Amino acid sequence: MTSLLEVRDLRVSFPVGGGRTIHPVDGVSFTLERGRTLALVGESGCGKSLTGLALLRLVPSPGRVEASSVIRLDGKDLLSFNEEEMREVRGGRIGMVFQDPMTSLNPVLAIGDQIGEAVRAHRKVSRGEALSRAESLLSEVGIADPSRRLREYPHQLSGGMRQRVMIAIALAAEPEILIADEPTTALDVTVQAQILELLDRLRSQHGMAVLLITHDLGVVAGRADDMCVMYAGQVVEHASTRQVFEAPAHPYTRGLFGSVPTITGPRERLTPIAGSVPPPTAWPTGCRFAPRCPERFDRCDTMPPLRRAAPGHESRCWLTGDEP
Amino acid sequence: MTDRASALLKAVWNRPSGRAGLVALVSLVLLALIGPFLLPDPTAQGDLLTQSLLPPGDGHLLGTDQLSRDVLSRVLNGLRLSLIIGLAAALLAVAVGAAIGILAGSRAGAVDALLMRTVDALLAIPRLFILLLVLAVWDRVPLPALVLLLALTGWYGTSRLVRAETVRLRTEDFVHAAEALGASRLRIALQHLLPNVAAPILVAGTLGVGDVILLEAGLTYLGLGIRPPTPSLGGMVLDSRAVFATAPWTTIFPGLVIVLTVLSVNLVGDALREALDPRNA
Repeated sequence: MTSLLEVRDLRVSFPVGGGRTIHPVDGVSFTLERGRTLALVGESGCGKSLTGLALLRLVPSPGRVEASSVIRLDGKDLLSFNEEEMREVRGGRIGMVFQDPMTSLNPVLAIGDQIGEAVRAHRKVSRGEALSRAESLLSEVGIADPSRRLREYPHQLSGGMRQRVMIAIALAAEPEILIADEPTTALDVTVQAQILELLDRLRSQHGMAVLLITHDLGVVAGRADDMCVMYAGQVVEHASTRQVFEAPAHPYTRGLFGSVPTITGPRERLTPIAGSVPPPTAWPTGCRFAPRCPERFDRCDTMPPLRRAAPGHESRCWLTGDEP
Repeated sequence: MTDRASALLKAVWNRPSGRAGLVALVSLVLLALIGPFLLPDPTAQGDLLTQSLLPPGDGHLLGTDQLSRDVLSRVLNGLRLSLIIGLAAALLAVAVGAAIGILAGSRAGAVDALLMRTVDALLAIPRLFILLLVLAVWDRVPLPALVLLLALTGWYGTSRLVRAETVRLRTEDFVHAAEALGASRLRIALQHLLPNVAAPILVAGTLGVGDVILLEAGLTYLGLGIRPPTPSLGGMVLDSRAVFATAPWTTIFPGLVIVLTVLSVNLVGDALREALDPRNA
């Protein structure tokens, strides 16, 4: 059976002048199945958001997805689609929820019009039908008194409600895949949990696949089936969420866990990862994490491939198990 | 949308200058709409010997001109024409300006550069010069053509304004979000960009009405705009300049109405601008 979404060797390039190009996303591969949640985890600048945009072919100019990349939606090559076909995919088959609900809604349009617009972008329905669909979408994402909210403007809603509206907009055309790019980062902690629960409920009710892009390991735990840890444009660890949480294989992943406080267990000092993520212009030729890695050795001067730590558990480190 | 319109009207009303402009403008519009039905035909002549140049008084509230026509009727008919021309030309100018501004602003690169350099070039030629040139060659220009001419020479400023706003909006998250949800370029322009540039368009359009009325009166005064016997404010001042000393009502009243109309339109336009300025919200 073909995967719902298959990404192979995704590479995004940007010219930086002087005839040089950088690759902020450099050979990312993963698959996404129906009804499952995959998390892309990493720090700012690791290329996770750009990966999400690349799936919709919305990489900001002058960047572009390199031709050698493969993105297959239900077996069909997205990179060969024309602009008209891509517009059908955007919102129609792949919906997207953005980080900041404060700025992602149009301030001068009523909520109902914005949801209705998303409905009408993909279906030939009348204004009235679109509005009644908007109303049912609002109640589906848990907004009370939807008929009144339809006529309100974004500034009249709280942050959590706006994010619910954004989700309703993303769901308007019943996409098979929902990309959620840091959907809770701009929200209060209590509201975060509600939004994540909502996404989880919608995933199971609609059999959607969810690509959850986040920097927050706490968001991943218990929500995502599988996870990809990204560092400097590459996937450095890929496994089920349980495997990664139980036995993180890559030194970077272990570093991430070391910098998160735990509630149970003895109280310890947090151990941050030394240094910061290098910019794409300064990536080392060998393992990209090597300059910050406490366990580096001679071999790290050459780039490691993804190696098998356990069945279904890969890690881009020379210290990990054996070749896959 | 109606909520916003009424809120805006209230904001204009709450400013003293806006209120004065609104009262004057609404009165003038009502007079121009109703007057022509109640008053004598503006082209009807009486006995030229006994009915010409009558001072304001019984029968003729604002007197009569040298051809014994009712000045009030001619002023109100002329005002109606001025308002129609002003409104039509300003609407058209704003539509063209907004369309070109959004097009230039939402397409970076060559299209933007070409359109904006064209606008720069057009702005370098005085509006009055183009109008005088065309009207000097085109004798007895028909009314729709006059409106078109006034509109096509009045959109440059609006297009620059709208382009600047569009460029700012293009990087807003909600525009990216709309893109990611499969909205087409046209849909983004109409649904997301246009409502957000409505405020500067509204102000530019309102002030444009005053400009056009003044221009039309000026052109007609020079004998190039509306031709007799159609009553027009500029034309009345022109026709009566010979009898200004002996029968000042024939020139003063049309002149006064031009001033009042343009002043009230500009007062409303300025009040709108203040009301829409986010810093005053």
